Amino acid sequence: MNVLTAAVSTLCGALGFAVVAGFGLWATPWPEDFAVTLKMEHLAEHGDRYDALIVGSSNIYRSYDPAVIDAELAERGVPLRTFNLGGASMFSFETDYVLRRALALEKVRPEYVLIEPGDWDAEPKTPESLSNMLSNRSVFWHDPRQTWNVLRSIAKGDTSPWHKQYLARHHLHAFCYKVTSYGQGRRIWGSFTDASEDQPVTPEHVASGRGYQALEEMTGPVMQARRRLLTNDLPGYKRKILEMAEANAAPLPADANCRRELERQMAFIRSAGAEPVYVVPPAGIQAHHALRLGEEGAIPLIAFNDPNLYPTFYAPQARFDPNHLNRAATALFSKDFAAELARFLTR
Amino acid sequence: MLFTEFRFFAFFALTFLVHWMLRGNGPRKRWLLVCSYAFYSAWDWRFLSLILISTVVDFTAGMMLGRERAPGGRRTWLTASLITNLGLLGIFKYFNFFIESGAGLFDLLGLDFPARTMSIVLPVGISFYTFQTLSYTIDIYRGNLKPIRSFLDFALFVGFFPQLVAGPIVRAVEFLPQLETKRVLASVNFRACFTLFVIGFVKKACISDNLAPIVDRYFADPAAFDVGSAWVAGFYYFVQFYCDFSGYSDMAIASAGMLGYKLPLNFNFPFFARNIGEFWHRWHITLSFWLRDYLYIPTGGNKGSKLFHYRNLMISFVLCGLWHGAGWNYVLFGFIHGIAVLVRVEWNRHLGEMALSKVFGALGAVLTFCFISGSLIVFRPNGVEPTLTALRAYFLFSAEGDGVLAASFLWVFPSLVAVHWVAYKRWLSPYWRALPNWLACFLLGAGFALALQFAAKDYQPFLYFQF
Repeated sequence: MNVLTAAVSTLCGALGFAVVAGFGLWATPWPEDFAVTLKMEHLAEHGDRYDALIVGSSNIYRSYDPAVIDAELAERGVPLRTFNLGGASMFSFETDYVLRRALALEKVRPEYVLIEPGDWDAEPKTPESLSNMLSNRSVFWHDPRQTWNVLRSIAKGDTSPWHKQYLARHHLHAFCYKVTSYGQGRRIWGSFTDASEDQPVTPEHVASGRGYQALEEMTGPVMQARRRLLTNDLPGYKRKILEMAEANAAPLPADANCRRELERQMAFIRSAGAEPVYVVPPAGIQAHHALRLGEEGAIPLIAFNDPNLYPTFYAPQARFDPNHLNRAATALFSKDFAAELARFLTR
Repeated sequence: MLFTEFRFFAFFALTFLVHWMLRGNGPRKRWLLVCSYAFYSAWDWRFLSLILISTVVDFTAGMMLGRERAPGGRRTWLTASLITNLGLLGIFKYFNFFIESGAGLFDLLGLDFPARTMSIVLPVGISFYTFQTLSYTIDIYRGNLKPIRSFLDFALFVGFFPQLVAGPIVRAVEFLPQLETKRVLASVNFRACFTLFVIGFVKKACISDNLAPIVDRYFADPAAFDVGSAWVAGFYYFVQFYCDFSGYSDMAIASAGMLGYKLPLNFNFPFFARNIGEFWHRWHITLSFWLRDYLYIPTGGNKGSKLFHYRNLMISFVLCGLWHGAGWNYVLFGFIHGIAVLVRVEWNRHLGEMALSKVFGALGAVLTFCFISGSLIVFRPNGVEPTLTALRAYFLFSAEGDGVLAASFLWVFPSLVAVHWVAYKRWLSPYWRALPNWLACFLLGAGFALALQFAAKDYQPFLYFQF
């Protein structure tokens, strides 16, 4: 076999691989058991109904009711139609990916993107999330661009070189899964044969709630266990809130990595014709990077995570569990948030 | 590091590129040795020392066997090799088994025996490379092989990564001559090698790993399932086991082939075995023939009285079972197969050679398949009670549970048989060979990408790693 034949054969092999892998990338459905999947489908069809997207973790998903927000905004002379694109446990890089995909949809042309700032940590949060690194949910956002973002973030982080390679290896592994659609064949086949997958919400839920769903609507032992986290340890919850209030009084300096990622994110939101506004919900998260950057004026920020300023939302009777508001408190909070947003936008 | 992992693909790509870029045979072999040790270290670097001990001892023993002329001296060096290799195997694989079994026996006799087991991790591949190195010293002792002068060559023979951890069991006489001549890139049939690698990947990652959770579900609680499920689980487990091991062997042979080395065939369509004897000539061939040449024949084989012959057969099969793992289930597995072979020998003695296939025709293959599937229930380490429950359901059609095991993968079995039949008859080979290279490579690339998509999501370690 001469060099030319070998080169042509290798190229043909690579081409065959690329054709099937490319098809897999295109055809792989979004993760099952992920509320955002149906929300994206809704946006693809009805994205032109909305002027603002609210994106972030379950703190966004369970705390921002678009119906209440829109009514209050209209009353205050800022008529906006909002859609809640929050999803449970979405970390910064995942949120960023979801947002990019949403803004790429033909019908989605929002004026504003309201987004939870996050801490841009490439580290899996728990041992479970590390072992879940190759789950559909984790793999789906590891496209080349987002993997590059996360690898750059790891490289510029301040952990040890050993830990950096450890993190990079895990993300690269997920990337390989993504680009080859590893293990997705049956789901791809199912998507063509209309085999439906279990989803945590229904399309009707998404349309009627405009992406919002109260935790009270969720049933099952997991939800009950979450509720008990609050009711069984009220002193622990109160202690945590006190600690957060103290920490918020003197936020730590924002790290360079977080600043860089937020600047990058703002640039791409603006390039899509929308204006970013960072929102910190009244959750149990400190978000000191965002608070500091907000204080500096580096990011447009509306923060509600101060128990001294917003004691109503941190009262145990306002919570479903230690991290999330209940339905009644969400209605109250959405109203206050809309008022604050109207003030912010008309400033 | 598994052959189905992305990090293996990266590792192999680097190994392959540097290997063929190096010009001399020496640098290439040194590079392959470094890669082989790195491959093994990815599992646990501490156990590299065992490979090194085995390598040094057998290289020295081989050299001394070559020099020594006195039979007593030669026996001493062979004994040293046997003690070292089997000693390491005994300590790391069988120590706890023998201690626990001894304690159990003493307990049965009402005697007190302070059993002290050790916390030992089984070094991956120890059963394979131990048999390989033993073949070297035994062949020199018998005068079938000349001792090798190059330590590098011998170290590479022991540690060559494609076959290091799960075979095929390569004999020195097959591999060492290949190391003496420089490998030529132009003589490598990459198309055939890559085809074999993709086939192996499909067997392991797409079939075996997808069946594993279903099989595990049944064996976790056989009492919860009905009779049909026992049969489905038995069939699935056999298919899983076959695809796991033969898939690994295919990928090992293909990887070695792409580096210019030839490894022996390890499986030859075992589903078409018409009797148990034929099965062992088609299944894990390198182990069967190793046991034949280094255990069965030296102990007398079929020479001598009938009883003597049967004793030799039973020793070979029981030790074959024990080779697979340190547990009574493996011993029992070997024993059952030994008995089955004895029955076949007797059958042939009374009704004539091949009478079974004449009487039953293709039914012989079906019966053999059912027997192997059932015997694998014993093979699987599952505890006495669940194993008995599964055996009752499988052989006596008696089950109290009413759970039904998903039969959604049953199509795999007839498909596998059909594909095997086509491959066995070589119906597609002329067409495949007639394809132009560019088209075959395109199809192979596309096929590999498709195989990745239908691979099981979670990596399952190779079953044979535990042996």
